[in-house]
Amino acid sequence: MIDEAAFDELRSFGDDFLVELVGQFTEETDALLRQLRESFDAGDTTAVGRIAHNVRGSAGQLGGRALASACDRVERNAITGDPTGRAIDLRAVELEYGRLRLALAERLTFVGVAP
Amino acid sequence: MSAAPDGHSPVTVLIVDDNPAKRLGLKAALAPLGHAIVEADSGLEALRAVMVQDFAVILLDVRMPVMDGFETAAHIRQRRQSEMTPIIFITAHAKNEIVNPDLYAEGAVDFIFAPVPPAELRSKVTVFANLFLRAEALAEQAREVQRSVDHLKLLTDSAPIGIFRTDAENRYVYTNPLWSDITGVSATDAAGRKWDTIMDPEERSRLRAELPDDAADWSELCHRFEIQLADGASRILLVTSRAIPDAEGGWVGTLANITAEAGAEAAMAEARDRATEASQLKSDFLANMSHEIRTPMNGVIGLTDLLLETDLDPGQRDYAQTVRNSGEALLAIISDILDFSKIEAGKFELDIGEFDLQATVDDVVDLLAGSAQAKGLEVVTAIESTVPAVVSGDRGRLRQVLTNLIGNAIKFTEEGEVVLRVSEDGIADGATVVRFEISDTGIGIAPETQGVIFQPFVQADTSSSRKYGGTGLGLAISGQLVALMAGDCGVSSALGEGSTFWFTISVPAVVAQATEASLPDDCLSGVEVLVVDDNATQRSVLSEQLSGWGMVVATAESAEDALDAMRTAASEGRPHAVALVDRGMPGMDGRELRDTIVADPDLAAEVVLMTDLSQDRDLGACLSLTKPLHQERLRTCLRIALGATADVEPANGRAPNGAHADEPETGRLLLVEDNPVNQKVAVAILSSAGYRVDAVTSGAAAVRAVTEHSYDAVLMDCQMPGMNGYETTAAIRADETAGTSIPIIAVTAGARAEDRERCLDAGMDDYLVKPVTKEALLTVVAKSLRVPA
Repeated sequence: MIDEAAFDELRSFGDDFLVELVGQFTEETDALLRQLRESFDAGDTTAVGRIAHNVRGSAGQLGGRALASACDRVERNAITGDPTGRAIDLRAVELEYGRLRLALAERLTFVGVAP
Repeated sequence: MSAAPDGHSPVTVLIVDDNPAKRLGLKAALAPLGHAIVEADSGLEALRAVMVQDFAVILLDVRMPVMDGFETAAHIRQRRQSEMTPIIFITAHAKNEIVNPDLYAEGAVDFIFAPVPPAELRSKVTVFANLFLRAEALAEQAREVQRSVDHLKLLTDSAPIGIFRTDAENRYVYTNPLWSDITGVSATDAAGRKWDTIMDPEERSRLRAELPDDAADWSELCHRFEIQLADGASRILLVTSRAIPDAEGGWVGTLANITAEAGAEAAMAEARDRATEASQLKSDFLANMSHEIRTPMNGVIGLTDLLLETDLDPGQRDYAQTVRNSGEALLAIISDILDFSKIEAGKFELDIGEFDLQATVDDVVDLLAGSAQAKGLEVVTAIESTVPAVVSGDRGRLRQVLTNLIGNAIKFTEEGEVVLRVSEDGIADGATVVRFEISDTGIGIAPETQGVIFQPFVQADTSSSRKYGGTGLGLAISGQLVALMAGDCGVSSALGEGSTFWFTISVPAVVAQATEASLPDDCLSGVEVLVVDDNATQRSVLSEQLSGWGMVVATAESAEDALDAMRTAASEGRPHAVALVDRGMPGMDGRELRDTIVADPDLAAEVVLMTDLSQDRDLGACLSLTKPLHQERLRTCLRIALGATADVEPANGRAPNGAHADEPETGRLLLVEDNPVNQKVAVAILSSAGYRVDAVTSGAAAVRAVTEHSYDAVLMDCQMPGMNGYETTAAIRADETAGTSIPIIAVTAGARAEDRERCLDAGMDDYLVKPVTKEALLTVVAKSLRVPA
């Protein structure tokens, strides 16, 4: 669920940095996933691709490989433009995000941001 | 009937004469021909004879009392049966009688003068006998033909299929009764009509369009069409026909009523469509359900994890741990079902990327080794040196299949070993076929089960599902994943002796070269090594690997044997330099052996202990390796044992990197990154190494920044909204004066070769893949600063 090596690397910059980073990540990603769902419902695949790309970038940086790859799939399918949207699996993104938050919370004992 | 002496078939000849002596004379003259002779002594008698049978020829005396020859002939001719029978008159009278027109008028076809010359008589009779025979044969043939025609008619009249014939103009000449039943057109009505007038005009033109323009080119025809009967019912008919290959031409054909079959066919197609749809719905439902279950289950597990980190009394901890374990088990089952339904629904996609094959195999084996070793099983991995180091494929799915098969092997084996062999199995379509073989010494699988074991919901037997649990989907999923990876799988097994599961995957090799770890090694080449292990497979796999590095390998299967071998070798002046010793052996164990070797002044071998994860780590001052062995770790450990540590890289493979070692770096960098998280991390990494970093979030800001300040390098995110990294690079390069090119490092999410090409083409100098790691980022930055700009 989480790439320990990547996470340890972040930890090396200190707990304050980490808490701030995770806080920023969750705040930002909460908003982005809402936009993602809205864009998807509105059929705006360009926006879906852009937002998924954005989430993928930060998720990867935090060691959230599963979320990054779920985003990657959404991004790719959004680019190829399946008009039915059936190939775009937002639930996977949402699920992996939930799992990542839980894992991050676990590591930070940062219960405040856990779902 | 016997053949006549002259070879002709015998016929019957009628001799008519009132004089017995003359009859006798004629008979005698004809005797050599062997024909049957019937005699008549008067014209009346002759008439009676021709009424009962046919004669080939009649010899008729002209002068007879009561009814003379002429009168007799006239009567014979009047009878239909004998009107064509040849008559030869026999006359003793003068030649004037010959010209008597009566002779011919009465139907004579020939005549002979008495006294009759026998040769002439025979010759004439023979001519008529042959004529008679030929006529008989023709009559027989005609009767035969008629019989055939009668039979054929009987056949077509009673055939359970419509039959017809048309002439060269395609007009009906014959139709059988069933044809009329099918079409509702009587034979009389059909006769003379064009063959396709039974179709409606639309159908006719459709058929015409399908056929060659020239009717002469239709040699065969098979067409299905629908007709409306007078009562409004419709029928589906199938007509087949063939051209008659003779000068007159025309067609013969059949017509079948296939209304019922066509209906059944349509019903079947509909049933099939419905079943497919139902199966699709089922798969969709399963996929959704699994998702729905997974989400809360993740919550249950995650929160139980959190709960376990709080202060709990032992009882509570036990309960919570059970909740967690149960949740994990349930999640594993749900994952199986989700995967399976995705594959079934055709929604499964491979996630292709480049990966290190050996590291992947080692990861899986490491993960499972604990449970194997807890059962006392030996786990041995043997990777052939021809297997490519880096391949392009779906690493996660390979892991899944390996985990399933190795996990099963461990689950179903109570004692002995589980061996994974990885080998190259040829090249197909530009990809390397890699073969994985997992052998165990477990309970085995009955032959009748082996064939179905890769099918869903099948377990070796129902008792095994009770004993070992599981969904029975694992192997089915593995089989389908392997198929998705262009591979094949199978099993061979004997009950009670163990099983060998194998599978192949087809993966393009990225680094085709054998891993460096399997090539001869300068430090190790020629070194005497003794492998001490009670497990034969482990000994042979290790021997092969060590030999590959150029080492001189000896093996021993117990500590006692090892000591003997070492002492012998030492006394012969070629002592072992290293002993690779299994920690857990029956009898004297590895640690005791180590102590004995160390205590013996004659033995100078360095001892490397191979230990299980579960065994205690209190090994004293000695080198040790954790099983399952990794090639790279083994090699490093051996080099250390031999004192060649100076040039050895750390076993974890991360090279020490000067860029972020001791002294802080100096330099000013511009970071162009719109994602705040990525930006924050990159800034943290670069700042911690001593760089001064300015961060901007758009291409336009970057272009501005490079004109305002002087940077030593730019880190450029490729995909940004607005002006992307490529465009920004182009804009920066356009503003630069000749000879002052600032290093630009691309940071991109794409890891493919063409992504790299694109960055370099856009004028960037180097390339980093997201997410960036500290090591990679600092290495690339340091490298670009060293290169004179």
